[in-house]
Amino acid sequence: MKFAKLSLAAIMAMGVSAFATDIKVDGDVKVYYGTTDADYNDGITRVSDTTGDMFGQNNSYGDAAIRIGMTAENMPAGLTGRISMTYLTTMGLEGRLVNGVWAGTDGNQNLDGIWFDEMNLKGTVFDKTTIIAGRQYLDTPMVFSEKWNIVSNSYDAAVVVDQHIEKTALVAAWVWRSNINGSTTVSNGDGSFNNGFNTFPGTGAAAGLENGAYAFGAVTSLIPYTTAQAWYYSVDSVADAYWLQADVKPAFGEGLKLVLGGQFAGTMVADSVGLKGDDATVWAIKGGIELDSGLKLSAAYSSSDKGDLGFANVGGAQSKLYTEAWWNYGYVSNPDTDAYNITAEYSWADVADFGAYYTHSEFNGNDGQAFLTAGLGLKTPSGKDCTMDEFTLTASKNFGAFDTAIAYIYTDADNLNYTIDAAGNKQQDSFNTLQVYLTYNF
Amino acid sequence: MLKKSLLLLSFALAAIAGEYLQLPNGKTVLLKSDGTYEEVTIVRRGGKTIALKPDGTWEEVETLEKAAPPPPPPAPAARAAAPTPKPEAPKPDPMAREIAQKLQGTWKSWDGKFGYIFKGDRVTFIDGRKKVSDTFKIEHYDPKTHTFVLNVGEGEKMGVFSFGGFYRKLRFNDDFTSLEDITSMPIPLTRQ
Repeated sequence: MKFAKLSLAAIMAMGVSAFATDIKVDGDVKVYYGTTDADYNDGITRVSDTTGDMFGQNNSYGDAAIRIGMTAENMPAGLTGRISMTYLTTMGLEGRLVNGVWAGTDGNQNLDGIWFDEMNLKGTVFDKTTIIAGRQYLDTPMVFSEKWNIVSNSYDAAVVVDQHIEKTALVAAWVWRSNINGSTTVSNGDGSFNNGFNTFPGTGAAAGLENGAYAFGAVTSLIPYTTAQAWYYSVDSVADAYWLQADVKPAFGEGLKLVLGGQFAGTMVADSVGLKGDDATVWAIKGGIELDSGLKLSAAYSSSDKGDLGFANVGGAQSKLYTEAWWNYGYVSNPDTDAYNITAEYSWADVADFGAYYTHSEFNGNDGQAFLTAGLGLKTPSGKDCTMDEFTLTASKNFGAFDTAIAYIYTDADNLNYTIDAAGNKQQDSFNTLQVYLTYNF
Repeated sequence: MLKKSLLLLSFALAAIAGEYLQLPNGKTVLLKSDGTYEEVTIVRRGGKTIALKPDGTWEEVETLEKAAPPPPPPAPAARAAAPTPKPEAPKPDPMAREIAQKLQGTWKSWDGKFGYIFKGDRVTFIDGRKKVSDTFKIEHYDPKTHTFVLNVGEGEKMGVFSFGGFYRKLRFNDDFTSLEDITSMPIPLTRQ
């Protein structure tokens, strides 16, 4: 008997022809640059002899990233496959034009990194139940992929989404690894091919951190003009959290919509963790209008009480609170903090998109507990009140496949750009930041 | 008996004998009745035409038929006028057109940070601070679940490969009043 030997390519071709698979190849190249005129670095040392020199090497940070991915739709059994790889690099500019990076530090000076940011299979069972397994980007209120940076963190996870109830999604997820890394978004790890993916939400088997985290959620738009969602998170033997939210956007006259929203969330830490054992809650409200002319105006207020844990993205920097700042993440989401935000955005057709954002937050000491948000660490003297003001102006425009944006950020924060002199007196000043975002999509 | 045998042999030879054909290139071949042919050399001797066969025998040729030359290529003008086969254009999918119509307008998530603005054959995709405007196509529409693939900004299609732009997977609800992005975790979108 003769056996026909088929190459892998031939088998793939057969599969392709039988199931009419389409494969999309996509990607982008990004170059981000930022510079400040801050005089001091974390209150410890002066930045350099050329203090406050915007565009100076010591006051600047930059990165480039290349991402290329493939999506295979309509694979056998109706599966969808997705694989994507990211390469993050300073292009060797550190020590020349810049001294800092946007993303991907791990304390070991591994400034460049390459990793698979997506590698998953998605399939549908029982008509409207979807299973996504593998490395993927997530978007839930307290576990999500942050998209503000040049690269985004992803998760090794299994997600089940059931949508048999009309306009409603029921979600169950198990997350066991991630490359999330505080304010630098991703960890470069050890330079190996599986860069930076560690157990989620952290390491430490004894503390139960290596067992992964579970999330359960329901998102519905059954109520007219309303999107409501409820989430519950569990890190086995470590902490639990919940997040409730409702957003209403009714039409209100010709070309005008109201925007109303409410958030309520809580975090609970197990006594075994060794913190004070205080649960914390936060509430936030938002109101605004949207005009068909492209103008959006909104104002939001949030208030959290004292507790062990804040409300930012677990392991990350940003939060989904309405009052979140445009750039200085980690302030509004702390426990024992009051904050408000005012946002104005205008999309000027055929010209550009413009934005103006103001955020004020007051951290009230939290009974002496230091800032807990991963992005901030312990930059401020523990237990001290901390006020932060940020005012940002942005302009962005697409030129074909090119996306461009610039941002100006004014920051005045008690824990930034300060020093303590020999006499023990604190000297602090506001500072300015300029950022340029360039993206080419291919 | 001998005469009878010779008669049968002559009939058999006649049956397998072929005809001589002169090709347009001047060569002559013997077409055999068994479907094969062989090239022969034609000489003239004493008013007779003789075919010299490769096996060393010869035979007198009674008739030498000339093969008709192949038809000349059409004149340039005729070539230009002749219809050329066109690559098969993709057939317009009426369902895709209908879905594209239903998509027209603005669809946003609860926080307005994710969504689509469809206008004619173009779409603006918004994802956080990312904003991309390009053309779109509707592919793989499933009428049972109302799911489809939104192929945005395709640069080139080579076989099963599509280069440039990106895919998003979307689903309408049963009455087409709400939309969900189901590329990864579902994001409910409402018409603005």
